[in-house]
Amino acid sequence: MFRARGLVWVGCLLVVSALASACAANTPTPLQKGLRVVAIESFLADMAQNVAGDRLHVDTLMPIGADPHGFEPTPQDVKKIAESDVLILNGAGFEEFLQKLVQNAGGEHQLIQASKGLTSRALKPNEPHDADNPGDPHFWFDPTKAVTYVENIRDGLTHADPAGAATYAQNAAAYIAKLNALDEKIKQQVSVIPPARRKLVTDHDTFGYFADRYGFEIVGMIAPSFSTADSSTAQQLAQLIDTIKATNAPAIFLEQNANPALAAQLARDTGAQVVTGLYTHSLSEPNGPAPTYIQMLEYDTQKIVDALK
Amino acid sequence: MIQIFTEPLAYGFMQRGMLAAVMVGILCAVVGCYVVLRGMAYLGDAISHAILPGVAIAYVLKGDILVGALVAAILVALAIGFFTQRGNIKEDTAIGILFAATLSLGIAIISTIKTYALDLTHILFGNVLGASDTDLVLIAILSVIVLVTLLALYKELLVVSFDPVLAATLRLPTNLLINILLILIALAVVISLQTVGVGLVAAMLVTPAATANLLTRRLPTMMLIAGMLGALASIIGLYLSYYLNIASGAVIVLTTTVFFFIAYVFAPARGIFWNLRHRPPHAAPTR
Repeated sequence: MFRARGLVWVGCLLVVSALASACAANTPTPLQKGLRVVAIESFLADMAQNVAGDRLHVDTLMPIGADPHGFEPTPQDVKKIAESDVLILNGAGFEEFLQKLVQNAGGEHQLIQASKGLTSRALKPNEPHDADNPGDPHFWFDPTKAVTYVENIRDGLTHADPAGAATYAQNAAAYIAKLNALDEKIKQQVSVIPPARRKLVTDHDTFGYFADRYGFEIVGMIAPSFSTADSSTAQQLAQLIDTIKATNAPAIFLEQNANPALAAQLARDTGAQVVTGLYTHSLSEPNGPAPTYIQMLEYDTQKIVDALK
Repeated sequence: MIQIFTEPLAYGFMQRGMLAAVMVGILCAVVGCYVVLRGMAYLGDAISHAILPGVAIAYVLKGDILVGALVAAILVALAIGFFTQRGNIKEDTAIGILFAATLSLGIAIISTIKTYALDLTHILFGNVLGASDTDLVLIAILSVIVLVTLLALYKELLVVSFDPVLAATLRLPTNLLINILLILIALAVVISLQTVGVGLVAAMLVTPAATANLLTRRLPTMMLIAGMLGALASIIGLYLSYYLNIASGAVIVLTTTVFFFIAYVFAPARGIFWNLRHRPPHAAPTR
């Protein structure tokens, strides 16, 4: 009896999978003219779409709001990589967690490493210098460095689709102008913060390039290393409390999805304000406050300015 | 219709994922029969986390991470054996203590390494879709080694595991044999972990074997059924994962769970259904 029932169940599973396949087949795939371009992160896809214009559709691998470290790709995601003609990634070690998947996905694609040519900012003095340390990969928090991203994407797309060279050059130039305007705008926004209050306490070291560019001092970080999976030691937290008190840093900034418990505790001990919800590794939904790369930086800057001015 | 089965296999990553999952499914399920019968369900979880300090030390010393993981896993397996063989601590207690200790030791070591982009815990979450050719060869070789050893020592391990009195009478080297068994389990876990991640290994080590245990009382049959269930769950799970667009490891684990529930309800002599029909229930045959 077990066997017969078992077979029925297996049959059910197969029917479910057949139905699912039918559903999948019915979902219209976005119209793609020619090249299939996939960017790993949503902000890269936005930059690439600006360069590609109407000529190409740029797909994103990581869903909106996904924490890169908690991202568990499905077969359809890997299929996207395998079937892509051009794959855009941040590089500089940022996608280390996906490296194996990208390597073994198969298919032929041209890789565009958006951060190619950029050099990492100097590490903090007490950090051991490691020969194979890839450095801080969060270049996109400086719009002038994002210009390099756009140039790399432009060159990559031109290489993959030489016929579109003129379009890509034109679009990239227009977008780079917008990035330079963004840089000016952030400078202006930041100018209302008194220099003594330009102090950032964040949950991860995401804002290094932003701080370098706009004259902020990174006072402290709740998790001192890049990884979101890392946790702080008691000593580090005690030091952080002392530093926040000593420097009078007015606020602690948390990224989307960050656990506010530790920050709330720090805030209680130091009197600093907790600001949550900065967009850093992913854009927001289209109807959210940060649906494009430029809006993401504007939104974060506004939050920082509001808290520090 | 046939297309449903062939379409996903057009992709290299699906072929490799399928092979990796099936091999891990068979290896873990067969080894898992001992895990289930000896009541060490958490051993897989424990060894998965025990590799963390080994990985961290290997990283600090710039050694090979897989070697670090293997050494740590074998040491922990032997430590579990050591504490249990003294007789005053139960196996599950030893597992519980060492599990927490090694995980914490790993985190402690990692917290002293201050570099960017270092997320050693990611080694715990391998993805079956990222399996490389090297992974496949490695799993194949290790599967053969582990399965052949299990087969060669079949009688000895059986006696030592389930009839300590007979083992003593036969003057079998009990502790040595148990240690060998623990090392075999550790090897299976570490190799599988690299490819499919901690969740899948822990489930594959327990659920197919537990399901098979409901269907038969003979160890060789149980190993055969468990291996087949492990392989079948991997195949069905990967297909479902492809078409439903859900993370593969999770679907494979859930498929083994469905198998378990089916067996739990419908198994002859032990299932709920059987017992309802044969009231008053037969005296349940004991192993």
